Amino acid sequence: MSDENDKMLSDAELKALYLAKATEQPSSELDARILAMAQRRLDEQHLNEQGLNEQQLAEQESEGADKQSGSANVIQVSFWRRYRWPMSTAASVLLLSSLLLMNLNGPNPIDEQVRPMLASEPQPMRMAAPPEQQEPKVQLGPSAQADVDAPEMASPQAVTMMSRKAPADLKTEVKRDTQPEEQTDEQAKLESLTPNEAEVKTQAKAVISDIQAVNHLQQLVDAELWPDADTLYQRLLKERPRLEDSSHPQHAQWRELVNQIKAHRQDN
Amino acid sequence: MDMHREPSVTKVSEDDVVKDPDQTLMMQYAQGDQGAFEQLYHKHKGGLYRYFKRQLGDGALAEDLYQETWSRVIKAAAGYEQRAKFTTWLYRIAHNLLIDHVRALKPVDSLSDPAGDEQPLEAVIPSDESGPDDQLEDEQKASILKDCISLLPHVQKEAFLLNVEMGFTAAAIGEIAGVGMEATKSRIRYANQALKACVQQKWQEQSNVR
Repeated sequence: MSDENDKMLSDAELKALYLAKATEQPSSELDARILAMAQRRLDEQHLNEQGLNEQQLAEQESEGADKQSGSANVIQVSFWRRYRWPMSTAASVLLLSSLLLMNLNGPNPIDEQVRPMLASEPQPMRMAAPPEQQEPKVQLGPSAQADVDAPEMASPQAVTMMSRKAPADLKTEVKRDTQPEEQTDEQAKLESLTPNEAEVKTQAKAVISDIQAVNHLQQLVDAELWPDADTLYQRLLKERPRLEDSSHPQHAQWRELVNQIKAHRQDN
Repeated sequence: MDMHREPSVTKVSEDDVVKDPDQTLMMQYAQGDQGAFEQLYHKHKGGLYRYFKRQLGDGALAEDLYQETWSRVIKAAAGYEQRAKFTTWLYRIAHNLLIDHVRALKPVDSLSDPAGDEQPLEAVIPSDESGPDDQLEDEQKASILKDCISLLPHVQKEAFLLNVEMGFTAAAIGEIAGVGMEATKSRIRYANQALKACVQQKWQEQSNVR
């Protein structure tokens, strides 16, 4: 046994014996294949770098040298592709905002177009306050400006009529409610007319307003509200001088009212 | 001779990693120097080839895995980082390929089968005419050792080959094979003992035949 142990190899001898037979090598074909693979990879890398360099040069020419700080390994993507999510979000927000603003602002131009036309019209629907609250206001006496803006509403009779709405009045009110749209259409039609036709239409409107104004004055005289009637007379005289024209359809009524007002002024 | 000497294992220092010339060659290749890769290849081709050949026995499969290992090295060159010694990284790739391609298909024991193309044991037995000089004796023992290596269990065979062929430390072998250092030391020790006994036994058998 001891002889056998004496004959046992040491680690160094074992290694030497192993290395003596460690002579296998890959075939030269395999070597060539692997070296060619390595060379091919270098060629591809070179081509990629060349392609990237050309692309970078092109971008440098178009965008300027300040944006060219990336290495050759960085893949350049277009601006729209790179920021596609922020751009998409911004576009969506812009679209929604535009729609919202259009919806909010849409009715306003119509109101602005309609408002001047409604200036001489009675506006019962705009009065949200109940009739009980309206009457004291009227009792205090309408201002001259209110008279011009809404002659019918300024008179107590008109307010009384408004506070006691009959079914027929309700129908009228429904009509008036739809009036803005109709007037908008009329405004559009006016715009589409020739200048002469438009002038005729405007004159017709003015005559209607004169009728309403004279009627308002008539109501004040009938109610014997002489100070108010006198004030309205002075204003109408300034703002509607055509009522003095003898050819005006309301001229006769106007003269009669003026005489009554003047007579009452002289009595006082 | 020292009969029970521990396998020579040396510690890997950080300086070894930093000053590893293989890493330099690899970096040069990554920067486009084909000559650097050729140097690297010729330096390691024999050891890596034998690593596969001795463990698999199947020459064709060994060549496939050998080529695949280098292919992965080439592909990884661009992103190569100096985290470990190049040889540790190289053999880690080889080890993983071996595990993936062979262990999944074959029982572990089959890796220990003698290589089919190995020289039969009788062929290395000296004829009556040959003189018993020392050189011839070493050559015969080397052939016996080669045969004995193929009989080792796979894990011991791998540990022995990496230690003797490449001079890897137990720590490096453990890193390659994914096991602890103590387990690796044990594997190397058992492999050495088994090989010594095997060579001794076969040498005695040959002597008795003579």
